[in-house]
Amino acid sequence: MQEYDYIQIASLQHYQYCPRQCALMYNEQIWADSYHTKAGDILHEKTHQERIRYEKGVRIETATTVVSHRYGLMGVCDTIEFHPDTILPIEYKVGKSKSIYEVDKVQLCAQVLCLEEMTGQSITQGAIYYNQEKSRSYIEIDEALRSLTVDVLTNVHKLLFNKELPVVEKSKKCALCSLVELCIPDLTNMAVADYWQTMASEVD
Amino acid sequence: MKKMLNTLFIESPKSSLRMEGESIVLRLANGEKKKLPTLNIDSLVIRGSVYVSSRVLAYCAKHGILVSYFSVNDRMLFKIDRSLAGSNVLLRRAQHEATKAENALPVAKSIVMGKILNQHHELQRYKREYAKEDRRLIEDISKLKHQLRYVELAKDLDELRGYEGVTSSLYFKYFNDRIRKHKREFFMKGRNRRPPMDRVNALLSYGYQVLYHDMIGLVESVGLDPAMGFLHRDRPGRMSLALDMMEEFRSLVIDRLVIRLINLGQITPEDFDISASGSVRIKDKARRIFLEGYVDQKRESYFHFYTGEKLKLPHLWHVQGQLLARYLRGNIEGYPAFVVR
Repeated sequence: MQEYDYIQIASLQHYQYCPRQCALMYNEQIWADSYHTKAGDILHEKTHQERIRYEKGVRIETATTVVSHRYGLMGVCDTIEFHPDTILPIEYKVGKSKSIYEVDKVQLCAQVLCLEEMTGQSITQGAIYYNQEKSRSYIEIDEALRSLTVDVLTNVHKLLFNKELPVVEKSKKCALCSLVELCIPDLTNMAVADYWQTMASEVD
Repeated sequence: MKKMLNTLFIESPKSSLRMEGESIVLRLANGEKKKLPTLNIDSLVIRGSVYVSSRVLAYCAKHGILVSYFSVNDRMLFKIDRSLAGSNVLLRRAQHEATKAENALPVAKSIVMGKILNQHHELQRYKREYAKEDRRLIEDISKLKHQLRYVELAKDLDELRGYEGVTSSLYFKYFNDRIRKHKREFFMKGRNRRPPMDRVNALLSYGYQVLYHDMIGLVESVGLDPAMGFLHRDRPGRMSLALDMMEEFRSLVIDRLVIRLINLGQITPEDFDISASGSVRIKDKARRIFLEGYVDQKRESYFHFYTGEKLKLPHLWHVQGQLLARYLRGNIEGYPAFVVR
């Protein structure tokens, strides 16, 4: 696999939210900020400066670029703790822990796949830090999560390789999507031919 | 976040634009300073002798603010793009394919149909309000309507352009009638430009130039190449797609504005310099009045039958760009040009 075919870890999250959103962002290069994306940026300002520090014998890195050649996957880990016996990736999220989404777990697991390949060590646990509660939740990286993650990333590869734009599937999620005005989920309702017929027929 | 396509026009001679901290500051020739609201600005139009610092240009590129520079004669000399953001090679390839002469006809037809329907709408409006009994007008409106049928059946671009020409002359035939103030001074002798030879043409040309700039911004903001058009063919230095996108909006936005400014007496015959050679220039004060009117016009909302929404003009433009991009990427089977109702 060539380097330019690698997909971003972040794209998994976008794909799970909506395949069309994923294609719009990565194939069509369309991006729009919303309150939520901006809040995320501000939160990540701290974690996205490359730094290495030590606390109680634990090496802590922020903004480390990771890659998996096997899965054609690359991305940036917010924080990684290198303990003497294990590696713990930590993902920072704006929200609360009661909203532990599958997508957050998949994102974490994708980081684990990369780290395992890079270090040769197996990793059984990661963590998600929830900013509203200032606390972390530990996530088991079990077989079910691993196979779900591989499924999702395979689908993203397919979507981005084919360069197709999935048609709109309107749902409640559209209202929260930062791309809603660029995607225009409403507009597939009418055939363009019908539109012209209506417009022309009103000419009296 | 909504694209508002807010445009800031800097036309004061000998003024300058500089960064002061994180904001752009305009300093006028008399020393007066103004902080510009960069948050809601999508593009900057600079005309004539205005000094702009490189830091301002870098700021604009970084924040996706389109900068266009016009000479005092209203020719666009350069524009600065929104860096690499939004550049989408897939969409451009699709555009390249679709704008080839042998593929361009369907979209070109839509553009012309949109244009004709909107011109038809303007004449109907005029008839309803001022010329209910005018037999000649009623006949011409029905001739104009007839062109729609021909457009649908047009076999190539040249034929299509022929029908467009016929409707345009039917439409412009009534332009002088729609002007009801200072009729002796505001009188167009056909469409002429570069240089405009009468006041009405001077206003129309200026308006189309301003609209052209906004259309370039519109096209670029959806990741399309403004130079590759459907109806307008390739010509170096010409933004053919921007010209295409203008067609459905000329009568609705600029023609209406010109007539309104004249009829309300906001622009008067004294607002022009007329050269001994006959060419006409708009004085600076009237340009400002024109631009203020243009900005007002942009705040009006229009119902879009295709999306089923009421949209302000900048948002409507953006939707048209999106619709065209969607057509090019195979999501819809045609381009639904905007038709006013």
